[in-house]
Amino acid sequence: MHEVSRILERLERGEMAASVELLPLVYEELRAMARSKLAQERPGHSWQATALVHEAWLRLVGPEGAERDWDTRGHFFAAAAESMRRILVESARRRGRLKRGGDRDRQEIDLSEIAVPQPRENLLDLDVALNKLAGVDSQAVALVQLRYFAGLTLAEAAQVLGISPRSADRLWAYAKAWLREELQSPDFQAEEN
Amino acid sequence: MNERQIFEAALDIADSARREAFLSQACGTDADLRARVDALLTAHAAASQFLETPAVQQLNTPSDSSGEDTLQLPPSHVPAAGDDDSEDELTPPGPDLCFLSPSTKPSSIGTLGHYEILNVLGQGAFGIVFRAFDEKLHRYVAIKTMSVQMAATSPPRKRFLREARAAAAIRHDNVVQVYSVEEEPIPYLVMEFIDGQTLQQKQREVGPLEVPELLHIGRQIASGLAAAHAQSLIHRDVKPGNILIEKGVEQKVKITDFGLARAADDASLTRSGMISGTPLYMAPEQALGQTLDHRSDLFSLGSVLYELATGRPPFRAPSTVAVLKRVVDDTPRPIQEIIPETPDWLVTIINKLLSKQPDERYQSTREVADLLTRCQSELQLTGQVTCVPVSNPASGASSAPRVSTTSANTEGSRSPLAGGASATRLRRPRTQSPLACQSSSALL
Repeated sequence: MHEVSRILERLERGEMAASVELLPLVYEELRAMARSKLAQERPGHSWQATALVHEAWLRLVGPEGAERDWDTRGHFFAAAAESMRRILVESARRRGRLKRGGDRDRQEIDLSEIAVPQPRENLLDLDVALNKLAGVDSQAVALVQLRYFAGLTLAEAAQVLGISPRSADRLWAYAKAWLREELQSPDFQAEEN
Repeated sequence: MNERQIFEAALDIADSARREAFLSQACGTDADLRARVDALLTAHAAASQFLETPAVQQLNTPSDSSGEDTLQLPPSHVPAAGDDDSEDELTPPGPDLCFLSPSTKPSSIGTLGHYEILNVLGQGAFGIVFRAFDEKLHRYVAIKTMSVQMAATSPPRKRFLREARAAAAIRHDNVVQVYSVEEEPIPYLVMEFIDGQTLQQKQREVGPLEVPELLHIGRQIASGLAAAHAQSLIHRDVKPGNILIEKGVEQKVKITDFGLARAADDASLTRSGMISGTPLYMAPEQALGQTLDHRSDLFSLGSVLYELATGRPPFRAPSTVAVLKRVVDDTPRPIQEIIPETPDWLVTIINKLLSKQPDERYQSTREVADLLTRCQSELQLTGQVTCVPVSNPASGASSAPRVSTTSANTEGSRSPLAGGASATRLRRPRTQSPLACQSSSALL
């Protein structure tokens, strides 16, 4: 049985500590996948966050994953969303260093990481703002990670969080407003500079 | 109430005066809290794409201009399937539902316009079919969306809309009614929802049909097609999967997907040089890429009736190309070799529909519908069908030597020398002589 399947079973039995072990496994898999995807990238190629996460699920849990219920999948998706956030933020950070020309000795240069276009949101700023939001409302952060980083739909994310789609909709509005407000605030701009 | 609760509650209040009253009451004297909530509401109101597209999805490299050009190339210039890059591994496993908006109802997958999308009914060459609920008219509908990839290219999109509008003009009991044709966010059709199964599913369950049931279904397919042909609309993809049988004793037939095959072909031809969907029921002129008319639908009707009678499509082969070749060159296996009880008149009708040359088929669909109706009522009233001259049932169906009508009537006397097919025929009294039906000969 896959390592991840074993961890999911422990989670199903209520061993919440097992989720600590889940994250690094999911993270490594997704990072390896993202890297190989970037290497194969063709012009006009379309990235699908959900496809990446679903593929990771298949690779890590195997075909028996289909039998897992949503509660169990929820743990996985949460870990995957957290992983995707870290992968993308690290990538953005590395790119920033590469552009400034530093770090050449320590980091091998991956050209694809410079060439790939960036999301309209500044990931480094967003990461800082999310850390701040985590102190106010961790559920809002979880929702942003599921939707923005793992690409889940609102309905899927609601299922993972165990809330109604309506509550998820309102929480989404709150999280977006909060983050926008945070990123626009003079305080934040000052911290950055 | 904390900041989030006040913000969320305020969002639910559309009226500005009432919202203001709520905010003053909820925040009380806490000016900081009030300023925070106001800022959040302002940020919320600022229409933006902020966070709406998942980060990874935004990492798409800009598509180079040659991508557009490839779509304009005629099929012959398109590289063979092997040369093409294999489909990218990032294609999501299920249907891509990115065009749906979130719904507040737990039973719903999402919303499209004023329709709550309830479940996926099927996925075809050109897109997905959903069961949905019309929130305005409070009725269940079927929604057929054009696939996202296809909707992105202009010719199939325009054709989809044009064909769909044409289909919407057909009103007939045996045709799935198109309620409306929409363009945004992607092209889609709203249709009558039919609770039942496709003819394909039915056939898989029950196998070959008895003659009365075959007539009942065949007559309705022909009537539906006749209504479309009367408006110069060709279906182009008549097949068991496009024929719905409504639940209930009546077994009402509803034909769906008028003209849509054309839009699908447009898109897939330019992409891969291959015909989309199954060619199993296709007319020879269609397989050869020649001009079609309503008689091509009649050939497909013949293929469907052949399958209803025998339980298998007339031209089976291991590959699409081999099927196409058989459609063009081969004579299907005689029906009576598979189901010996099939009456000659039915074999005659099916073989005529399956003529390779359109000129040798029935020339009008109305004629076929009327003929089948007549067969059905004759069979019900007299247990016999005399309106179909079987002078030439053999066009490909059976080349076995025929026993004359008179000797055929010596029921049960089996000649040890007779071949299987003709021996069977001996047991069945001929329903008529070729001259017995002058009145209907004009039909043929």
